[in-house]
Amino acid sequence: MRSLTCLFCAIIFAWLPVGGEAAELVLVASSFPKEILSAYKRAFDEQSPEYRVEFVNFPATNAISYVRDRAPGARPDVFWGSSPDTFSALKRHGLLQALEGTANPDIPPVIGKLTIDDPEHAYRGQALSGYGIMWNQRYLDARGIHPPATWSDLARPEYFGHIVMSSASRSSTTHLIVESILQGAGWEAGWELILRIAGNCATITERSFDVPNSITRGRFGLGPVVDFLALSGKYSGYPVDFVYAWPSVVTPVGIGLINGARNPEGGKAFIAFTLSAAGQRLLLRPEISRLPVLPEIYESSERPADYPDLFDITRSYLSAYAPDVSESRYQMVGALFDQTATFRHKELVEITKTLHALEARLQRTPDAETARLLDKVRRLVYRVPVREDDELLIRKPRNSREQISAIAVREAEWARQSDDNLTTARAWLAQAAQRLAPDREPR
Amino acid sequence: MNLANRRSPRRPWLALTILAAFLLAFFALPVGRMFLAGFSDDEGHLAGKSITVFLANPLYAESLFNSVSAALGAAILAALAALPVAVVLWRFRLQPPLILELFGFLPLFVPPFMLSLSLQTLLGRGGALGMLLQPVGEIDPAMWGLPGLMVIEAIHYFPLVLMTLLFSTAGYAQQAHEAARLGNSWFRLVTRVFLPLGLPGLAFGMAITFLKTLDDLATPLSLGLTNLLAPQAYFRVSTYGHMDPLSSLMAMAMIAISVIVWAISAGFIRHGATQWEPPHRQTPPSLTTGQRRLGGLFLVSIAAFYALCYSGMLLTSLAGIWSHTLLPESYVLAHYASALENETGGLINTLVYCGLAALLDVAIGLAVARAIDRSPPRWKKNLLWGAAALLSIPGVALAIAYLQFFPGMRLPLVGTPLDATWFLLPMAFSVRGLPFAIQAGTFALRSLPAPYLEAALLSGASRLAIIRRIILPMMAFGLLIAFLICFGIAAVDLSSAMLLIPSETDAPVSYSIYLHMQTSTGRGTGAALAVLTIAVVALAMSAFVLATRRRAPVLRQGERAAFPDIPG
Repeated sequence: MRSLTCLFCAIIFAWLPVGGEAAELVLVASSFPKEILSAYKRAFDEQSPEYRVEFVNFPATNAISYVRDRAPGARPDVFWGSSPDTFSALKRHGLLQALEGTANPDIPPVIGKLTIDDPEHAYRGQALSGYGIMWNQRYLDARGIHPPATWSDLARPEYFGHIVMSSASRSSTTHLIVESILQGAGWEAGWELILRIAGNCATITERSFDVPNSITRGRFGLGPVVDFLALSGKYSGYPVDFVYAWPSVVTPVGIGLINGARNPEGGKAFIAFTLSAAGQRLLLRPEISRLPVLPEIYESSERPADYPDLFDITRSYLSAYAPDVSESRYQMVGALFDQTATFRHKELVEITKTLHALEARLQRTPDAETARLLDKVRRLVYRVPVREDDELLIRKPRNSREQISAIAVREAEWARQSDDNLTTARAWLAQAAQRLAPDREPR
Repeated sequence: MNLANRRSPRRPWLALTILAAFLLAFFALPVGRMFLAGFSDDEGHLAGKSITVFLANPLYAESLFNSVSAALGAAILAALAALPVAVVLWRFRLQPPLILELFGFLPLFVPPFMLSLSLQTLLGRGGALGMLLQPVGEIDPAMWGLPGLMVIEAIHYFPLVLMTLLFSTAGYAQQAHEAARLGNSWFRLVTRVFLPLGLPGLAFGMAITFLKTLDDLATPLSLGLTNLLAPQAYFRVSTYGHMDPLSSLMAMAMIAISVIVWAISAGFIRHGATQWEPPHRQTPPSLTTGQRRLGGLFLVSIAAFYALCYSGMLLTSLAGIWSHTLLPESYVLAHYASALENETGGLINTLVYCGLAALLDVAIGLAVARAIDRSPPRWKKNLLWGAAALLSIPGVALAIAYLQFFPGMRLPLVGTPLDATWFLLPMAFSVRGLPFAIQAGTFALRSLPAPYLEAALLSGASRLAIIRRIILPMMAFGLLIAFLICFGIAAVDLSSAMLLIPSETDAPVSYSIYLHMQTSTGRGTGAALAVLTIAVVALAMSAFVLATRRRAPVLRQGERAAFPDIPG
């Protein structure tokens, strides 16, 4: 009897908060850090008391599976994120609905070479993101290392063990950086660079945020990030700095209304707010530090003195970047990164460390045969197991069980191949070490 | 349970039907469906293909091996640390104050990733010890790989293992002393008396450590460890969606391991020498002042070790700018203000969901405990452990099962889809808390003295009066404990929450902490929230101890039944 009473009380208790609400819920899915979301929540709730905005936070790389797994009516109202690839994929899957009447006429349709809004109004540009390398000045000074300028600098031996990055399957920022390197340097050479950087990493973190977080604390020295995460640290007083690295990409931060939203009107109201002058001004807060798309904000007195200039940034935009290429192989690039870098990180680090050590010794005592061996190791270990024209990368992903199984079969092949390669590489490295050993100067 | 026998037979059936429906809807059917999903193809035919794929990838074999060895390593390390401490406490009959004993349960209320983050702050290159010792070597636990995870989980669950050990041995410390006075050597007493007595408690504590480590998602992720079952399943579900057959298989592998481990430990617990029912209170030990001081020092040093471990969290919560310096450059209270300002909504939600889960647990746990209580005696223990084993399902596995089972279902009356509400969270929490709730319910039932009930019935008291005057007061303590334990388990259950939360504000406070701690500007807020959470738990425990002391004469019986071995 008592248990029954408890149960009833519990059920009634459970419905109380829902019953007592007056404001309509607007649910926004986003990959942004909590500071941005809570600042917008407070401002929007205050401005529009008829709505109450709430957020669901997950990596933008999971947006498609998250939205599609939920029935229309169970989906969030708005998706808000940095990655243009995600928006392109959401649009192609029919998961976005056209945005009418939310635009701010003062936002120019094109900034530099960059188109801000989707031509079919499936989503709008809300801010700009640039990508580059962030470092902790104190950390580098303490070790006598100079800050890098390009992505390929990150593969150099002096940065070994000081880099932190996130996984391309878990962080849309890393995904975009990886894809821009692949598009800028080519598939094979791009992967080689990415894997060499991964081998230089101290750790590969679960979420994008943890990269700037570890660097601001000085736990690690440097890493690839999206500009605002570095700038927010800098303007909050941390000894960190940031450089837009080549090949650089600037992309619009998107915001769109999800097809099957529970509260489309509320969603639109929130989108309109983020595009309004009030919503754009929030971006300048030190803890947010994003680049507004509304030019008048850059004239405002709240802008810090050395805040990046809108037109400087858009000038460096790499026009070759093709979001549709990225989108077509989105899931697979993430899966490849995980199979070759994230899940084999320990082995990759161990081999990279040995390679750096042997290269240094080789410079002191040149030996053609050893150089050849090390070259073979590099080609074996930093090689992506799939060609760019592989069926998996060209065919648009359909998420049937059969297709997931097919990908899993390929993943198993890669994993086995990668294990074999590592074993061979270790053997070659041992040979190389042996060849160099007699020449080594006694300590 | 004469009272129950005299009730009309309809009511127990009603309760049992509700219970069965709950277990069917929120446990058996989702898990069954996941089982089918792991073994069937697109058309729903049974197929072994996913198993072949699972076995073909060396990564999954490695993850399986890593998961089991990390969990085993953590359990063994915690046991190795707890055994000598327990022997010393037993040998000198040192009785930790009740409040310290209760803090042994802190591991159940605080998620282990907090310890991981705190240690990374202290031992990482960015500050404190880690920066100081950087020229000597790397002491950041995230750089140790699997052993780092083992050590952190072992430190986290050590107090729990120690408490279960003490509970199962404390009863005979007095007799051991008398035996020692009669000329038995302490070595002999330890091997012949302490170890056999302690085995059930040790097995229980180790099993909890093992299962919780196996299921832990946030701690390995915070350490950058991905090649374990829980993170792999989580990655696959978030990349490919819940249709992915491999994540179902990984979830099932985790369930299988949990059930096997639970069965093994249940064997030890059942065959232990005690029934966890100690003899009555002993006379207080006559310790010399020196011994007492030594004992105090011993306990204080353990407490100080833990304070040190969590000091990284405290420092972060108070730090202004702290970047690559030994200690923070400045100290501020802003993080606390921000935590209180922005996170109160989340805290209230946490109270509601975890409270709901705990209420359900107490109700169901009590019902199951009563059903088991009324079964034939030789079945009782088997049923109790059987029920617990069946329900010891890892959070990641349960969340994956829910994600596959509930999409498309709608809430009655409101029509909102089930997976868009927070409804599934308390359900998952309550299923996860049930094994503990059943145990606690059994203890609570034992505190009901049958003679009182019979006397009341004979004297013609109404059932309402009996419930109000006898049942509620006698069981209040046990029910409160059951509620607190289930609440705590729900509040730290990050493994299922990470997969199931419909929106950020609906998440338990531990998830908010986890999210905050990953951003550079929100880190202080996250740490402040963590410190506040620990403070709330500590306050609740202290209030609990005070209440117990105050009501001790009335509740002596209840207290003993609920915490049978507390010498206090």
